[in-house]
Amino acid sequence: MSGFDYSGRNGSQSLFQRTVKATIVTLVVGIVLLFFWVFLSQIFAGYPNFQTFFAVLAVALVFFTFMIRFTDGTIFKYGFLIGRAFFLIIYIVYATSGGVFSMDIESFHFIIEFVPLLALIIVVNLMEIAKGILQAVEFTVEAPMD
Amino acid sequence: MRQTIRALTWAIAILWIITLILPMTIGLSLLQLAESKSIGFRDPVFTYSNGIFYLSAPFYINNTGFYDLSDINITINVGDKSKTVARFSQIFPTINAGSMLNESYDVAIGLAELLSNDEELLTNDTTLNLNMHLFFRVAYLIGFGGQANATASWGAPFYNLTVLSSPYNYTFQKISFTLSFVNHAYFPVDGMMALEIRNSRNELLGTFSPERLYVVSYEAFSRLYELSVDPAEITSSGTVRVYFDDVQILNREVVLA
Repeated sequence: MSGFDYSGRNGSQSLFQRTVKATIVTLVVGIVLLFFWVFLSQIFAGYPNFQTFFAVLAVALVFFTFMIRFTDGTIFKYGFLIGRAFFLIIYIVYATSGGVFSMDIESFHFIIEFVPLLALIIVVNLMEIAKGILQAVEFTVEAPMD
Repeated sequence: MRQTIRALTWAIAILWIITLILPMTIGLSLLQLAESKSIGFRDPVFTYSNGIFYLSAPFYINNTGFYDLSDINITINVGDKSKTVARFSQIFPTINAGSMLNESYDVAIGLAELLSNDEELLTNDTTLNLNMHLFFRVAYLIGFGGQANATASWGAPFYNLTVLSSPYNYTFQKISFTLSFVNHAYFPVDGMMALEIRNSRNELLGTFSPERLYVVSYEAFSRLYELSVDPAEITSSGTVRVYFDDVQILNREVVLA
């Protein structure tokens, strides 16, 4: 039960169709991320690890987008949704050093402290996790017995 | 369960919108504040009175942004070479959106404190290192801080403070010496100055009671002091101590005989 052979909402799709759909959506996400990268690179030019942090985020988002689309109609989708929310919590806390962002522009040291906003983002992602769990339970309840 | 999921979906969507809109509007608010030249400074005023140096730097902030500005704090660390001379910190009241703040950054430091931190500041011109921190919070949520380094030239109020003594006059039984300095400070030197002379046995030979000293900026001061002393108390050398507003600013060994 709940594998790729499950004939749920999109369960009847062939592996090829799933792959094509997932690839198209992932490409769109990738292009959007590329635009963001070009735009943000100019703003955060002075931030030392920006390229590394953005690359990690982009790769993770592309991976989760592909897998969520690819596993659509199966219970694994909810696992990846929960995994993405969990990853975002850890990533945002780590990349922003707990909500304090600092960078040097020539001799000027600049700090942005956004701990309340970070807390809001964590709450939203925790809600995403809760939603994912509930959806997974609902999916399992509604799925026909093998 | 479906209703719960739907409610969560809506709540998540609304919170994501807030999370994205809030920083964007805060950024726009700050841009509006920066572009309208809403922050201005006036000429700082240096003064000295009753043993305390004062610096007052008036400024205004016209909050043309959408959000209140709170927790405004300016901290300045003053250093000379590797020494910390003073640290000043001032918190300003919240500026509501659409209102204006007229304030001044006021700094006060006692002569005794200044002297204990860096005694060379009274007698030597130098370049002070200023490490300035500014912090404020927009919409009570997002804090912005900046730190910059600057330098400021310091003119010593008792620049080249010198005591030139003449040998003891056995005919008139007097010792005499000249005290001189140039006021390089931006403010007039205005206070009570007193002197005392001791021999090498640390016995008090005499004092000059406090008298008001007023030397305007970049003016030289030179005065001859004469004191009648019993020849028996005279030693080959002694010390002259100069007090300004009850703070000892000079302790110099001089030739007495």
